[in-house]
Amino acid sequence: MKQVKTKVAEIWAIGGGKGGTGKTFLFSQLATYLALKKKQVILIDSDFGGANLRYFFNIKKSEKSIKNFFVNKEPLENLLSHTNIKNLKIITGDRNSISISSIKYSQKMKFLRHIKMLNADYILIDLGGGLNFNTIDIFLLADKMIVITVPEITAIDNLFQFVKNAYFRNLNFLLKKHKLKDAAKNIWEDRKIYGIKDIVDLTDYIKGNLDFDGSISKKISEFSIFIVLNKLRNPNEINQGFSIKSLCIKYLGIPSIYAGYIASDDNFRKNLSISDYLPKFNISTRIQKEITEIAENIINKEQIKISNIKNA
Amino acid sequence: MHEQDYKKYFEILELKPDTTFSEVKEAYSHLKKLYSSNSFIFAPIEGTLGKEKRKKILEQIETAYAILSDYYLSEKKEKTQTIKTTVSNEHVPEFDIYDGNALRLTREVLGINLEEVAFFSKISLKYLKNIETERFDLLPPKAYVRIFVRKYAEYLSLDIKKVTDDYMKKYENKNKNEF
Repeated sequence: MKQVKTKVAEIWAIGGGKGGTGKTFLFSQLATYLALKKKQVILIDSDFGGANLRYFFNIKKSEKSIKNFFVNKEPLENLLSHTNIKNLKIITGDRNSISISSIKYSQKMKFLRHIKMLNADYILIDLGGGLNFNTIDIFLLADKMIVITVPEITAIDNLFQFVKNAYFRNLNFLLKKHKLKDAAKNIWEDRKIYGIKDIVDLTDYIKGNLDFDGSISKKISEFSIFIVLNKLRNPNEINQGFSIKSLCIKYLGIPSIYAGYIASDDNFRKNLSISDYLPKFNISTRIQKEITEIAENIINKEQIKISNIKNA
Repeated sequence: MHEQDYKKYFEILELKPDTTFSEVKEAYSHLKKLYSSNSFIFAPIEGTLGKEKRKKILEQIETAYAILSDYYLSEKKEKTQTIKTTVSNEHVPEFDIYDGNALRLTREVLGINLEEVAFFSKISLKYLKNIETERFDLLPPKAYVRIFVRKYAEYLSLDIKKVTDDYMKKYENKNKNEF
């Protein structure tokens, strides 16, 4: 008999479009935080192209990676690596041997189903950079969708693109389920006739004209994102998170929560010995407070509270 | 209007309905500043929508703030402490020179506690205390002190330039004597 699944895990996924914004860093820290809160945590590196999660847990070279699932058809459970942190297991990613675009639809669906079957309290999925639809589909599977960016125009541009693509893909899925395939696309093409100027108008139109029992509206508003800002160089940049959030709400119509920020750490860059990458939760540091705030805000669906860091 | 009718206006200011008037003010001033600015973050998202959309957003923000202000000032008076601030503003004493003590006295007359200042100015409580007690040795480098004092003065609705200049003069004199 198969192992009985006792827990329904909450799935968190992180995306954001651009490489180097700190996706892997943030998720290794959040996973550690949750594990230290005595939660069973599984962290999956599904960055197929440039997997690098193992650096954060000092795993030299893992015998098994996500490749074993796709190529050798091994179950995900068999691929779990233990870490130096109790309650935290990881599935390491793969470099080069599989390309994300080569994953077939059926393989992807199997992957998504198997993730849901893993036994844990939290499953954190670290996605690669890029706007690939496979990446977005895994992102959309999550209960909590998290995006991270840095205060630079190129990175913020990528973030908006990623969120917009994810939103549209989700919208199309919903409409397809209601036998309204291509409706969004068609309305958008004829937007001048309908007096639609942007995504907010489009969503309002769909809610008002295509939604007969209210179920589409409900599902649309369930799409929400958590925003994290990384590598801040001065306190004024904290506000940029509020601004990005506001634009996501007002220009894309997406319910958004600014979950927190991480200040840039020059010492971190200077030293760069391998041990610096390992999450250090035994000592009280600024970064620990920032991670705690982000994690608690994501858990509770709360916006950043400045009062929490007033004694920093 | 019932509570429910205000929900829309809280949404425009991107707030939950159970918020305080201080937070409403804070959200309003941030959004107004953002949508009046030429911040680079508009570039990737604004597209062809341009000024028209922003004008509409600004109008909505103004309306929401006006309606919510009335709401707090009429119905929820007892729930918010900050209303005292605006009411008693006329009786705030003026100082010839603004030092740490003057800031503390002004704050106390306004009935604002330091935690509130810390929350909205985003300055740590420890630094605010050190600013008031003029423990310059425990403060971060000069540039930060200037920003902190500026934000503190802004929160107390004081003349920002005068307060910052006065305070930094004292800060520099004291530092000169020490080194």
